[in-house]
Amino acid sequence: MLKYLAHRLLIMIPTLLAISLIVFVIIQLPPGDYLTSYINELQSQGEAVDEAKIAFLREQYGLDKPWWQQYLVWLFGMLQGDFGFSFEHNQPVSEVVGDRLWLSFLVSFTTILFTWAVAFPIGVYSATHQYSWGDYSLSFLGFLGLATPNFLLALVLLYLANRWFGTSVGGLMDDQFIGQPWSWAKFLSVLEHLWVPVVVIGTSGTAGMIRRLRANLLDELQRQYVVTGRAKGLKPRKLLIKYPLRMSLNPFIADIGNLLPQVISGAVIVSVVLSLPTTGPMLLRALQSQDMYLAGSFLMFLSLLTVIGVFISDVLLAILDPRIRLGGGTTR
Amino acid sequence: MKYRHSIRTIFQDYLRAGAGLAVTGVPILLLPSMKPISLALIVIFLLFVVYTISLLLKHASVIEIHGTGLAVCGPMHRTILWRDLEGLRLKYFSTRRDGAHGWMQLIVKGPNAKIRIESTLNGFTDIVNVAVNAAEKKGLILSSTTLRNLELLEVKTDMSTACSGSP
Repeated sequence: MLKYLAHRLLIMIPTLLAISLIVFVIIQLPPGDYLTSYINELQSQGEAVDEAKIAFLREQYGLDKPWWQQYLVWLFGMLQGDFGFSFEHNQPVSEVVGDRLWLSFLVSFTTILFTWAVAFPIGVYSATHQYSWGDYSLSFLGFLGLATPNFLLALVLLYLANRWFGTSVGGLMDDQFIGQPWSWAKFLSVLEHLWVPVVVIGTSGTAGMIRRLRANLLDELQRQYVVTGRAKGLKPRKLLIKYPLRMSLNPFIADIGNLLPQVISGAVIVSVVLSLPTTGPMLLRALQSQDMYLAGSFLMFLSLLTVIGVFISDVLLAILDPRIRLGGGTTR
Repeated sequence: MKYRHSIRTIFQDYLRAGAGLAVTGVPILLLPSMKPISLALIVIFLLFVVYTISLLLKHASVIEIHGTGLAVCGPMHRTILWRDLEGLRLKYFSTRRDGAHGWMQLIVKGPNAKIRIESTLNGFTDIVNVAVNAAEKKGLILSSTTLRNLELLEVKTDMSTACSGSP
């Protein structure tokens, strides 16, 4: 296992370097830079552009240097915990992001927990009670969840909460706590608001997971070893938990790699609709305004989450089921 | 019979360990102050230190197999007698998506010791054959993963036919 961990970690390093290069090149691809967007904005508002000031800013932000020099400065800065400077906010990226990163983490992990906590028992019930009324009803709900866009569900919840309870469920905390230091009251306020984005973002994931778990488990339950176990008198619950359920979990574990970044990047539109102070809307704005260090740092963060997620799922799969897969082979 | 790792087979692992130590160690030295990224790098660096030590131990060890048991001779001496054999597992690891270019690990468990042997060792299949025979004589039940890996290593067992269709 130690050898596997060492090999796997070594693969992550060139992967992240390649991603950082691709991210930087893609951000540089659109014509112009942040300052040209800024000049266009000023001109469209009929304001005068001070050429000397623009030249000064271009030199100060390092935009006059070749792209590869800008990339190296950004890369070595990131290694030292300096993610660059946000042109639009006129602050270091780490300060601009601030609490948003932790709030995004909170929303993401609560959503993952919610998804698993709901999907797991329902998926198992649907598979073990195939074609029962319960299975049909839950499958119907699952399809409904899959078919409903997250932003639409967010809009419906906003309307219903406002119409029936006279409250706004937008945001992640009450207005008086925005920009304030963390306190117990602020934490409680976040918990109070958290359920709406968690339900909205988690619904489609839950529905998809129920369908997959049901299908995987049904496949396993029809295998010969389950029939043999049943014939030998193994208790149904023990037989279910010890073998088929364990085997049907493999796709879930393999999916962790996609789950981590998906929950953050996939929630951008919901975050806009629900006015959530998470990273999604900020990333969108940074990409629109070509705020390259802010956008680049966000994209690197999402990539890092993907790489870490894939690493976790690979290690868990290697621990749970270290067997030769189809198409594989050994080398001596 | 005695088996040992040749320098050629272990050389690539030494290179990887060196690369891991360099890639994580240099940024730790360059970082101006302790930050979350430094902690992550220190953890990974320590893992590579442990990996390097394990490689050195593996390189200095000789695997001995005889009628009565299996022994690792070297800095970490261990012996497992076949009559005391408690468990046997054969694992397969690959870092590639298609599962190719991986390696196997045989884990033999005794009452007081556990011996891990990797497929990079010359004569690995011979050792697996002897160990599986001993496990069958003891009546040990092998896991479905082990049976599947044995099957693909072309090591015949009595249990592999009995457990077809298992997970």
